[in-house]
Amino acid sequence: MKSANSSLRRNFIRLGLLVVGIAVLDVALTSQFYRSTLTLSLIFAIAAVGLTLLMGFAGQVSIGQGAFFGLGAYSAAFAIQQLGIPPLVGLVVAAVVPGFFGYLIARPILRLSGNNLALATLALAAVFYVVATQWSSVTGGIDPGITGLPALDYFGLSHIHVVLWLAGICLVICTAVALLLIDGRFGRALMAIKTSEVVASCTGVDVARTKAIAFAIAAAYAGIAGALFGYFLRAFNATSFNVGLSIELLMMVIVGSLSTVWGAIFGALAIMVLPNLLEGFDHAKLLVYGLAMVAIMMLAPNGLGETLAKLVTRRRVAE
Amino acid sequence: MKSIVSLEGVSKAFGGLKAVDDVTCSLSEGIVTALIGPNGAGKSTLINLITGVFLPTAGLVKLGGVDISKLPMHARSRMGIARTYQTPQMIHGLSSIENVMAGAYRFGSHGLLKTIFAPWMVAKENSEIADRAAIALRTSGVPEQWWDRRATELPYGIQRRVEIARALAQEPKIILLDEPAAGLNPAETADIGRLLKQIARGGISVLLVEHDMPLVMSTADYVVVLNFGRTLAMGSPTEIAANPTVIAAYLGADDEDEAEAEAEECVA
Amino acid sequence: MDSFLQNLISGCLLGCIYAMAALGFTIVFNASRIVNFANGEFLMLGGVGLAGVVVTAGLPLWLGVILAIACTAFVGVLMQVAFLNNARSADELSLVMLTIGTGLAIRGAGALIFGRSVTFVPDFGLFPMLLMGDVYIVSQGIWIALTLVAVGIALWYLFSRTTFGKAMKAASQEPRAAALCGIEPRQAAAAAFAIAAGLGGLAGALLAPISAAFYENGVFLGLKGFAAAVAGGMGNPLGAVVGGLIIGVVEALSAGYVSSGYKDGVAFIILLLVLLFRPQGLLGGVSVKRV
Repeated sequence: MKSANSSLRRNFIRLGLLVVGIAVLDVALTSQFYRSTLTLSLIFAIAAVGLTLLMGFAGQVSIGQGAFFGLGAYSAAFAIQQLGIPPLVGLVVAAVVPGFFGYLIARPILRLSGNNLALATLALAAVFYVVATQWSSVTGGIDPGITGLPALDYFGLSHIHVVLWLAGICLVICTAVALLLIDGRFGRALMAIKTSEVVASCTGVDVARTKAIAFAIAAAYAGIAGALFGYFLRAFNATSFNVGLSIELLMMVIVGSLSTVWGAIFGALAIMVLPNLLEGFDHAKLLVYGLAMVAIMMLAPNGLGETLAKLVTRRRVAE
Repeated sequence: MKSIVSLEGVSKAFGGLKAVDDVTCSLSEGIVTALIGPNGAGKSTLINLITGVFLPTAGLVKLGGVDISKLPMHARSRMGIARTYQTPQMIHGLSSIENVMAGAYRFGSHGLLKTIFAPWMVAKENSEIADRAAIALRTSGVPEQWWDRRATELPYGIQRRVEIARALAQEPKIILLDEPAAGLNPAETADIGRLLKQIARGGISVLLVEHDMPLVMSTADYVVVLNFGRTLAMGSPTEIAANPTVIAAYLGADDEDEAEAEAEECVA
Repeated sequence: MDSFLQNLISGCLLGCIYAMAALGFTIVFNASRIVNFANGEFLMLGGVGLAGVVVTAGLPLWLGVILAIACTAFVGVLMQVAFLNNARSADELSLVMLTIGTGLAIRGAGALIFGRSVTFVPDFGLFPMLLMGDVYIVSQGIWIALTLVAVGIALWYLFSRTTFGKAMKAASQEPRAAALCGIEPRQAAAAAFAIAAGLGGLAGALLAPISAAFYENGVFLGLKGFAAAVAGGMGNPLGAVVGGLIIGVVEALSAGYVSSGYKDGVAFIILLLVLLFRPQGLLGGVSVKRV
């Protein structure tokens, strides 16, 4: 339809703007600290986009994305260090392993819904964390963890520039795929499932399979983000993948929006950048996080970004 | 007349309660079959048995002679069974035309891999499916001004039509309509009746579950009456209107079976 | 054999704590249908609060325990009255996230007020350590076991013998009937949060002398409380107690015989398995599956 194509075009213009934005910031940001904050925002945004697909569109909550994020980080590191695979191919490994694992686990776990699904995914994150801290022969546990990942200094650029652009390109590709999926029959099937599983089935959607694919995609996105996170730091340990990480990823989606992919990117940026802007914030970080989440859920349960966007458009219409 | 869906001795029990009890009937091509009966007679349960929300405790459900009793809902839908709901179930966040496009799910071929490796396919297939949806929307009489509006924001009567269009976009062999006139005014109801006849004349079997007797009498070619889960009578509208047992059942319809109504609500 | 018995005993004692966490979770669930993800933070707050009052401020222990319970109960009521009651959307997912947010805030407040150090609290004393051959029960263990028995009796009396308790239980299922007994669903929910939080505070205070108080304890304690409540059958108080003991014992035995590092994972794996294969709980009968 006309409108469908124009929304697709609008989205691709936004993607172009995203690339320009990254490029401008890359040049404009002089401090190494801000540049790494930007890089982390881009990395987390990938995982958040995946979670939006699962939560916002298919209506399936997951408080366990940290597990797939960690799985991606470990499998990429394993591929590079033990199998001698180049880092770029390592990204593919980091998407495939969590994606496959996510698909396997999705079938049983997505028979649950609501409270029980939230609980089960949270338990998954907790199990992963325990395994990551204990299975030292593979993960290095908490000390030393994974160390000595190679510096990515392609084309004579410094490590941080390369990772920033790698993260940016991955984010653009992942977002484009997500947008296309949403725009097509898969996206319509997801939204039908969110509305009613009976309605979805009666239009011919294999609900269990479609939900599992959505779960696998979200897991793969989280895995890619995790691998980039590992590449960026070059050394990490299990404490990065505790339950708090899963909740943080959930926060990004909530702060952004449950109904657009752009909201997730906005949310990731907000969660990563805001703490740095407040001086001495570290003490009260958790408290402020918690209260912000409470305030958002009380006042704007569909996501802060979406509610703000609605306010703006309503005002524009009123004028 | 060719039979599309046939039920052979179908029963469904919830706990000790038989919501549908040994029903045998046939829904034919090209006609509107009405399914009537007091509240709790098992009408919605029967729809749910045909679409696969419930599996029968006994008996066979056949589509075009093939036993589908054990098939999951989506498989039955892909074989040509479409339905509408007592309260219109618009997919949240989609426009009316996108809702109808969702109905044409089985005609799309792109999935995850094609989206990643052949992204241009998405737009191409979307426009093909949108063309199908446009035809269905025109057939069911949804004015073009509503097509791009969010479906959940549409007037009730339009939502009913969008839902019928969504079912049509599945290009089904049979459409099951669960009280399509509920909440509509007499003029709208009459329109729906004409629409259903037109759909049936196009070669589709239409099953109409309805309380509105004038609509049933003016639209249906064949009527099945259920009471307490059993078939009470079958025949042409005039035969049914003159049938003394049917009249008695309707007069004594106060002691409706709440348990079954509740079981049906869970599904809706 | 003796080490087995010893493991069993320490598992049971730990299980008593999990049981109290699970009871709080169950009481809130029964009164308001809310799965309170902040429940573990109540235990954390009880422990950290007690440590702050007794170790840092030097107040007497009995006063510390009372203060810990009272403050935690207050936080629980505050959470219900200020946040959950005023939520714009009552859908399950928003409420879950609201409780997660509150949990984060409580953890952050705990860290801010009581600091981020690991603190040990002296045990409650009074009872001697029980020695039976090679097997012993520490003095604090006796406190824990007796407290669970007392709490169990008190709750049983409240919910099956008093009008208030019965109305509370009915509030979520039969709001109108409860209102007739003079209990609004909101009051019932507030009361449930007070009881659950107070109970959590008590459990956290009891645990503090055995395992140190730390502001991050709440996450795992909460999850284990969930595991216990789910294992016992969601909404069943007796099941919560049994579930707590099962989780505690399995955890202690796996620490003894498998690996102490993986012991935390065991409870979560039980939680996952029960949710997937026996969502009605290990004790529950076959629930009628509503399609």
